[in-house]
Amino acid sequence: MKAKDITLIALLSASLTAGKMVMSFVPNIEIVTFLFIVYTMLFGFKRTLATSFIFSTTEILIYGFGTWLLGYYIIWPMLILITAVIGKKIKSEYGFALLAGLFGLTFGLFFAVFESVFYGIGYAIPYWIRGIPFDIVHGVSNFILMLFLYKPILRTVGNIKEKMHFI
Amino acid sequence: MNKKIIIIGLVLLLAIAGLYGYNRFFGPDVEKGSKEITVEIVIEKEGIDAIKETFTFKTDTETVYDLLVEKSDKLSPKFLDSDYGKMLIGIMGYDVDANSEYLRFDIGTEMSMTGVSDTPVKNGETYRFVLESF
Repeated sequence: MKAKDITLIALLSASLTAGKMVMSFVPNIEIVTFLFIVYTMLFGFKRTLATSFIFSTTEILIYGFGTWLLGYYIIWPMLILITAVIGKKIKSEYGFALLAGLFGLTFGLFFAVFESVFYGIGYAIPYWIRGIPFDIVHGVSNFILMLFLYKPILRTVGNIKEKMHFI
Repeated sequence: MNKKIIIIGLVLLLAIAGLYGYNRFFGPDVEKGSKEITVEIVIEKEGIDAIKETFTFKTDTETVYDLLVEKSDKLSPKFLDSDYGKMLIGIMGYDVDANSEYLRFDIGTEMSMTGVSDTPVKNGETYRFVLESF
């Protein structure tokens, strides 16, 4: 990995942490999903994957250790992998909006399954059901954010990428 | 742009329908009108005078949280806002030590699976708050 890549990963992780903090006052409306999808499309699977590990580790340093934070080491790489695999086949922002929306809708379900490993299925089912309204808000906000911001942000960050001579 | 606005409108409608459906199936089963219920407070701990009180209240409130607030002149509840809803951290002048105690919330003879703000008030029911150590 080149020094340029390491710098890029640091910058991308910082932008994710800053983006999350800026939006943290609104429950379940976040920009992390959006940024991971955009970064995967622009900078590729490997760099974005490394970024997700730095981002998740930074979360632990900020909020302390919790089992839910371990889930971050799985769910974000999963989103990056899905984006890398199907991203090139998606021709418009509508497809990415659908991906982000579905990701938001199933976010709580993923964590319910993940947390059931530690606390059992008796904990997971009420955890998921209780969180469904938040998942709906999460999915809808992801969908809208992606629909409006995908093209302009892709263009802007794409221009910066070209100026920095990233391939 | 118009196409996007129409799609967003449809998505928002779907979301509202989803939230409505959720509340129908999983929301608290609220009972309207006047109810007569019993509230028991059991606080037993070494070094303090035990509190064992039973109250019978008539109320129109819909959740146990609303009931506790309505009867605050007798129950003096104290709450903490948490990610999981309202958490009862004190009652009848006793404040729990959050590091080693909590107030167990029972409905009838069973421990409640929901918090006070998500528990509907049912006519004839007994709600019990018991000091527990951990």
